Amino acid sequence: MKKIMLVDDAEIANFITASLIGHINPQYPVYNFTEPVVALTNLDAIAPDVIFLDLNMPVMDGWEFLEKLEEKGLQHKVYILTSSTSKFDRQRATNFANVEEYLVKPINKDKLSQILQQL
Amino acid sequence: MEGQIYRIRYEAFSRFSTVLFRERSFDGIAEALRVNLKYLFNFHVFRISFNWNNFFIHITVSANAVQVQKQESYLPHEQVLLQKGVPVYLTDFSTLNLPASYALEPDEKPELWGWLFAREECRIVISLLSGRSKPFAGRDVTFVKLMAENLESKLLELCLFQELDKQHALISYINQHQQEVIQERTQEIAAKNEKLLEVSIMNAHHLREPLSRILGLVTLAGYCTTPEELKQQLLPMLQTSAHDLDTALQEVIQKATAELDELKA
Repeated sequence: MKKIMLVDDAEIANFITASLIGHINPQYPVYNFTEPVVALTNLDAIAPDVIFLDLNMPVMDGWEFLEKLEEKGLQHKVYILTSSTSKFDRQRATNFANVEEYLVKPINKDKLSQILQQL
Repeated sequence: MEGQIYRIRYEAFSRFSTVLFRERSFDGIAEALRVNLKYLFNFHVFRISFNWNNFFIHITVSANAVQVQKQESYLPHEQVLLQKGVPVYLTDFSTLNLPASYALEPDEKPELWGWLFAREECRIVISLLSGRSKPFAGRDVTFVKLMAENLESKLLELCLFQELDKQHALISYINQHQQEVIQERTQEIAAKNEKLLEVSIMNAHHLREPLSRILGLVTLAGYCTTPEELKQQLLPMLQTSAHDLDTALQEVIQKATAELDELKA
């Protein structure tokens, strides 16, 4: 079963995504983190097949997280999941090879299901 | 013979008028007086004091010298004229403390003549010093009056030109300054507009975060199978998110108000 990592400083946001995944298939192992730094240190151990990443976070934001991935040469598939509809953020996301898609919250179940099936 | 002399003097006056007509400066007028005046009447010292608004012009012609003063500096006999307004004729003026050029030999029998011509805002004081070798007679007054009229209009014209130049310079300065101010203000407004736009975009994103949670939770509510699941799990989160949204909104309002106050200041 594909492993899923959620990185969002808002616990409720992670709960929503995790619940939707559970409704799609409760078998998916979901690892959720509210602190990106902790998520990074657990990357090797978990080895997720996909990361859903928020952008606007304190301490380390989503961009820094993506930069760290690049620095370490890690090739994890990342879906940005943000409340930001800014075209600048959308544009900036295209600079990262890891980013599969830029998704605006709230994500619906069908879209999520489609993404998980492609893994 | 008398008629002949008059004719020559009128010609001299006409020549002087023509020269005067072309002059564009106070010094030029003084020079024209120095050259032409002696053909109109006799004098040791001739002086004209002109005043209009803040302009004061004093021209003194003596022998072959001419002096122009552009600050107010009336001589004692001129002050008497300005006060009393009636023509002055003095044979003893030793107590007046006049400049050295007014001191003549006693047997020259000096005579000091003076007239005031006041019209509207212009005041012209003309005075001349005559004597036995430079006799001035009552009939010469005609020429003095004619000259006073000519000089008055000419001097007034020059004063008006200068005033016009001053006003023009002032207006140019104001215009220039205003343009700078407008440019500055325009840039200021553009910068403020941009800042406001940035703030409003930032605010919108700030608001979307808790709102997106509420929307997500509402979606999840649709999958709830029991009222307990909804009430116990989702409702507290909805409450928290709604509260966060309210807080964010209040922050936005506060920030926008502060921004508005800053703009007004």
